[in-house]
Amino acid sequence: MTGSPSSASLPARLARDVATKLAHAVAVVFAAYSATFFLLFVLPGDAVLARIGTTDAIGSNDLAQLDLDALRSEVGLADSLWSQYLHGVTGLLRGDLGRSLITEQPVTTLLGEVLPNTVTLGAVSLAFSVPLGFLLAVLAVNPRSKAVRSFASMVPSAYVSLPVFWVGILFVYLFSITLGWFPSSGSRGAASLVLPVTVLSLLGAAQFAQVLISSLRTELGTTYAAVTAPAKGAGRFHTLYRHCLRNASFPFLAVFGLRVGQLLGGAVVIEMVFSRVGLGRLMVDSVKAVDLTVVLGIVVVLAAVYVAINVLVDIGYVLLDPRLRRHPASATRKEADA
Amino acid sequence: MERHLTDASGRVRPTRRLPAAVILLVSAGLALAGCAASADGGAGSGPDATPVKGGVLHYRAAGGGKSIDPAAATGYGLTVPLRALVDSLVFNNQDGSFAPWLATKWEVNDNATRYTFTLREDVTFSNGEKLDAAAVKASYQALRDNGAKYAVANQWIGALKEITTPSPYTVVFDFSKPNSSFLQASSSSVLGIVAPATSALPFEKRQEGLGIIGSGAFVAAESRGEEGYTLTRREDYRWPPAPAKNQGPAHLDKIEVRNIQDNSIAAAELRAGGLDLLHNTEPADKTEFASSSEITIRRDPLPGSALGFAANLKVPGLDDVKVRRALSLAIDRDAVLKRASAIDVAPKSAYTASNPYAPDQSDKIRTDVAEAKKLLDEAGWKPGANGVREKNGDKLSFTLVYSPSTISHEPNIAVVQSQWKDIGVELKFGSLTQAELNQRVLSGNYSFTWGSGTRPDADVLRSTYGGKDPELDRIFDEILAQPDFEARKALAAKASEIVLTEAYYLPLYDFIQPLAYRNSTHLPLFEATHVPWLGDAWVDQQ
Repeated sequence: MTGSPSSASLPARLARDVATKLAHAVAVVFAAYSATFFLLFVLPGDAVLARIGTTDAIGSNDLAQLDLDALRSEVGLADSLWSQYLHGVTGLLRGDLGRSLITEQPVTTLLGEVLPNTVTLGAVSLAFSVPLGFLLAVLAVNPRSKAVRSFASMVPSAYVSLPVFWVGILFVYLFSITLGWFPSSGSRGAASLVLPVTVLSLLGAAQFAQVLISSLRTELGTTYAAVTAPAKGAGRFHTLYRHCLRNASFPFLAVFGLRVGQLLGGAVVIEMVFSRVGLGRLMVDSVKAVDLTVVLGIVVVLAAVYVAINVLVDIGYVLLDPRLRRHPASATRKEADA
Repeated sequence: MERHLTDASGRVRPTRRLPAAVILLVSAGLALAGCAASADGGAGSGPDATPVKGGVLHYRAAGGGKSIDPAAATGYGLTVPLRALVDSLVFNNQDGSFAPWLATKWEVNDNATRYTFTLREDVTFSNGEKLDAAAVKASYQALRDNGAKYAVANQWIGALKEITTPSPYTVVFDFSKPNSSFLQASSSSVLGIVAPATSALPFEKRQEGLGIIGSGAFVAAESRGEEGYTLTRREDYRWPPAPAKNQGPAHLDKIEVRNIQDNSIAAAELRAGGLDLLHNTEPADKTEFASSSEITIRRDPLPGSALGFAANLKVPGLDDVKVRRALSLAIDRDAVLKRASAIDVAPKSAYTASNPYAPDQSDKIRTDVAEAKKLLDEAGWKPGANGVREKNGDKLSFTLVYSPSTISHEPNIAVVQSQWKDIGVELKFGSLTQAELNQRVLSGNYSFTWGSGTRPDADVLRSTYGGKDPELDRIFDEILAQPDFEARKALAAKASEIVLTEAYYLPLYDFIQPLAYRNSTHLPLFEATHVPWLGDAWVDQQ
């Protein structure tokens, strides 16, 4: 057990891993950008058509009288699909996401205005939902009372089956309009965060708890937890906390990335319900307005978020599983087989 | 028929209110609409109400964003607060007449190709710049220079040849084609005058939160991005529109604009007192507000053209006037109104009754199912498979398309669907994004669109019915070349009659503009677009 061969190759191995991950990240962002670009062009109508006419306008407008091609060339939609795509991709490489087709403001500025809000909402919700999810899961498997256990295991399934916007509206009616405790809309001050964060972290907690409950039950049924640990004199909670929780966390980590995505989706809906400035609202407005450049900018941000989450998940595996630190390749293969 | 009605509506909206109450409220609405022409629009403020100085008006705009550029905001709800930020050359009264505002007088030549405005000389913008002919010219020129970005505003301006300023306070607009609608256009907040400093800004800078400087009774003081903004009173404001009772600075200290997204949350806020004034109300809330003792909902339809189906004459079946007439005769509008909210009213012409140019042609909007069936038989459409009439392999099956803002009308459209089913006609309907809708309309891939032009002007029908009928097009051109109110009104009646007798349009009901407010809110003055002027609005203090 000299350990010298593996430790000598460690920096090289790390560098190779990082390079691979980076290449993957770039490929994912690029693929998401390209796919969205062409999908948006398949959609009927464009930004020029989208800005013309609403039913409750104070004046009518006559489509037939407008020189639509002139309008399109003004906003750069008259170029061929390929030249628009190349223009977009080269801009992306330079870190320039272009300008909104509607307001002409730089997309990076628009994103910069909304991202802090959405990131705060998402991060605070996540920070609450993970411990809450674990707590719920432990409550669903640990207590001696069957009633408590079945109630705690029912709550997550019940909550995730409620539509987020409905829960949001219910919270607004109850805590904001009826009781007047928190503002019903806006994103100013900590008070405006309470209701949206509650709705979202309950959603996140319920989703995490669902996965944890099922994996904890599996772990508790295995020999080491059901026979060995009690035989050595470990209590139920000790077994659960010291032995099962870590093993049960692998499926949790596997779905963590996906769940974060769902949380982001929930954040979009919640931003609409609570009329908050944020990525969700920007996305909905831009899709409605067929504001391609802004939608593409948002897609790039979302793709980057997914990539970052996946990296975090990988790091999480390494932290949880000592085997990965010793023989990363074989352990990963084992995980994949399992 | 009654059974079908229940089926159709039951699918879309399972819980309905008591029909008897609805009939009562509908007739009340009809009675009120009858008086609408004579009402001065001062709903919410009795003659002896005393204005209160100070206070904040909390207003909710549906679908608002960060921009407060009035030239880019043509939606009614966005316009309400912006009307107090910028002044216009003239004020358009609800009866269609015009009153002095920034212009003390104006002249229109005989064929509406030259407009000469004489401006007030004491007006300043909130940044201290003076309002003169050059400032007015710069304000319009900025819209022209930005072309596509202000597509709608520029369409209202029309074929403008040049703007000249023969003296410091005289501005002349010359057009290469007659545009008798220009005076109405110039009265709107969309063509409100902005300061030279704003005119000099590039388009994207105007879209930033506080980019707009006007001469209005309020000044944009704070932007909360997409969530809304705050307007504060301008203390040295002395040039309100002539019809305003308050000729000094505004009564209100502030106007808080909140862009609340969800209609039902906004309605709940209005009930709870968190809002004073609200735009856009769901049908169920409309009905509730109509009988509320704390909240008033305006019952005047938005001026423009009545709501209903505009036909695509290139579709087999709809190319035949007999079929179109049959479809109109088969609509029982009373039954539709029963399903609609309690404040919607029956149409009287192709225009809404609140349009200053609207004639009363109620006799041309009838229901006669037997005659409808006879007309379809005569036109050669025989009942085929599944009860849908057929002729030469074509089916009488139609598609109605509309934008998402029409979704709340769907239960009412379902009533028409079931009425048409009884005469062997199939109707499919669904909402499209604005972009897709415009594309479908341009390519002709639809049977009916939801016709709903809104503008308090005789010219409002042109955008929907232009290019369908040479006779109608001739009348539309005559309207544009005719500056005289009475003469335009006569032309408008002729146009509406053609639209109804040829059944290019199947009217359903008048569009009720969903502006609701707490009874503590007083709105003494409305312009012809039915946008209140908030310079003399006030809120009772608690």
